[in-house]
Amino acid sequence: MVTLVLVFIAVAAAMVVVAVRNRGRSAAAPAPAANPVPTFKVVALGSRGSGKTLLLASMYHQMQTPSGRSYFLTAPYEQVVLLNQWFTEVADTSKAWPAGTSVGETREFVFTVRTRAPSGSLHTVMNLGYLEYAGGLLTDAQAPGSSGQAELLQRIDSAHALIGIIDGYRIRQCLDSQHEGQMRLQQSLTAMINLMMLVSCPITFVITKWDILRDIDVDEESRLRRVRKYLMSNNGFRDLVQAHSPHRIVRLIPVSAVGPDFAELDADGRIAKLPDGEMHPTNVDAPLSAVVPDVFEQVERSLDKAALRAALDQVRRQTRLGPAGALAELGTFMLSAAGKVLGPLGGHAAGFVGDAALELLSAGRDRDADPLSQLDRRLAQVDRTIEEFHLARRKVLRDFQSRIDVLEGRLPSSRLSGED
Amino acid sequence: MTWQPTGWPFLIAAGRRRDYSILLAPEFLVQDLDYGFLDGTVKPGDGRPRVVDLRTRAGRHLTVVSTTHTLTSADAAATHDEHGRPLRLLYGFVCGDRIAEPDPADLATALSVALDTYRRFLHNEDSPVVDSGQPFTLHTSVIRQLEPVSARPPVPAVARAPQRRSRVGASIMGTVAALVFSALALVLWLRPEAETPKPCPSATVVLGPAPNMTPSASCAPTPVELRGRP
Repeated sequence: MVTLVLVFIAVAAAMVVVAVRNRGRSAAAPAPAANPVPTFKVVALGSRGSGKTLLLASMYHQMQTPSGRSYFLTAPYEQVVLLNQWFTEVADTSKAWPAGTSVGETREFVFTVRTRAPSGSLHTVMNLGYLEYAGGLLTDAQAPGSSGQAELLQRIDSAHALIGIIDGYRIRQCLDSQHEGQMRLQQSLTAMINLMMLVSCPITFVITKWDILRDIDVDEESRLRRVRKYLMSNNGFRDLVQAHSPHRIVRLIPVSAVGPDFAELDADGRIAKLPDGEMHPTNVDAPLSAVVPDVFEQVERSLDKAALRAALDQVRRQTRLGPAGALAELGTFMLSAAGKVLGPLGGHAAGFVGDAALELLSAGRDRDADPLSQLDRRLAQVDRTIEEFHLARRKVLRDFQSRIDVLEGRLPSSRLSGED
Repeated sequence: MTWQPTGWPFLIAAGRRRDYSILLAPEFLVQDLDYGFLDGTVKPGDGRPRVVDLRTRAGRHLTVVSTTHTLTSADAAATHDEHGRPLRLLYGFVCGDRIAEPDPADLATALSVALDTYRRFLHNEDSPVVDSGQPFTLHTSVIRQLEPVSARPPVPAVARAPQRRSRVGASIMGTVAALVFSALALVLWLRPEAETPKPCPSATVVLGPAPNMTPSASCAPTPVELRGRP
């Protein structure tokens, strides 16, 4: 009897120990990602007062609903609250502009790109990480022991795309031959160019406060051409464009977070809200829309054409995996061959990259070309859920590309090259 | 003589053209170039004080009390920057002791010193200097810490490692105990039964030393421990 009791105690003790250890293990193991989609990291470089925060708030406000697009953005609720608070503060003409961002307010916003399929199902396509920080981190010496600047440099180094914010107010001052504007623009460009020279990701320059440049020429393309000519007369800026444009996309996009009917320069030369101003943001969605198409254009440029063709042929032979499997196979090849350009994406990147290759690479966009068109057709024959997700995702990617194509069509000067 | 708690004022602010930077920091931190943590710790708020306990890069355990003041025309000639944005002072005081509820009088003292610094800064915005904040006696009730803030304590060892060790140790000890029990039970089970039952011997099973659950001297708290209040 005593023996039986001892055995029972021993077994119970062993079970308790095993259970405790297992619980410890499961607690220590990272929870599976609730949203396993790739994340593209974007860093906007801009000096103090260049309009980074306003652009972010306006961009989210415009992209949080589809508004004619196939996709919209969501964000963690506390970030939505903050972005809406900023936007409301900007839009309130009885209040001053929102105060500047301090170093302690540095934070990463994570936008999730979602789409609604024809069936009504909601699909998550990808995440866009966007860093918000104090512009002085870029231009000013930091206090001893402050880690903000080092962290910013690390983020720039690992970014999938950089957005260089050029303050339209400074451009305006430069065009009006004001020394202050020339000095501040040079300071900002020097800081950006120094960092951008070292990166290997697509670069989009954004001219903020485009609304206060509305009277420098007759139409938007002429205005942009004039600003572009001015910027290209800057040695550092021209050298940067010449160094990068043969290998990657370099854009120049004019944006206004508030639009042309909201503010104007007052008698002191400051930007003042109009008492009855209305917000009609311009082009604020374009910089984020350009991220993925530009990354994939660079991927295509970086890939050896013969190797890509061989990989595509191999994918065609491997359609025994099924169309979705073949796309993932294509994505795996792309991740391996262009890993340096794509960088770590996280999530289930292979499927996304396969779809993006099909939709964004010039070979993929040719609907009659083999073997991708075959995959396209076969994909439509498989399980409808998979088909719907792939088609929805590719529709979003197509919309990104289309947004940029439309912008380039309307503003040819928005694509920078060293030939100027 | 009664001991009285001490605070040192600090200020982070932007100018008309210059971005946010530390303009005033506790003297002992300025001397040791150990004030950079203020940049990342102090955030603008809604005017209510915020209390944060932290450990500096040099290993000092400090409490930072901060709040935000939007500049008015009574404070300085300039109330907005060149972009038309309101100028804010992120100010407060640093203390070597723990604080539960800061006394408004101490924040008023810190603001007074911060405003003097800020006015000087506005006169020479392009060449800012970091003023050394002098200590002042706090009205705030504190929970005294033995660690002096003016001396540089040793950098703490990596926290939590001993905790992990003790958890693993407990797990190993438990397994060993279970095995010993199992082996004992097996021996007793397989042992030929005596014809006449004998009383059980009062054997003592030695399991080895009990795991040390007390944090060792090197088990410091998390290097930067934040406790913010809205």
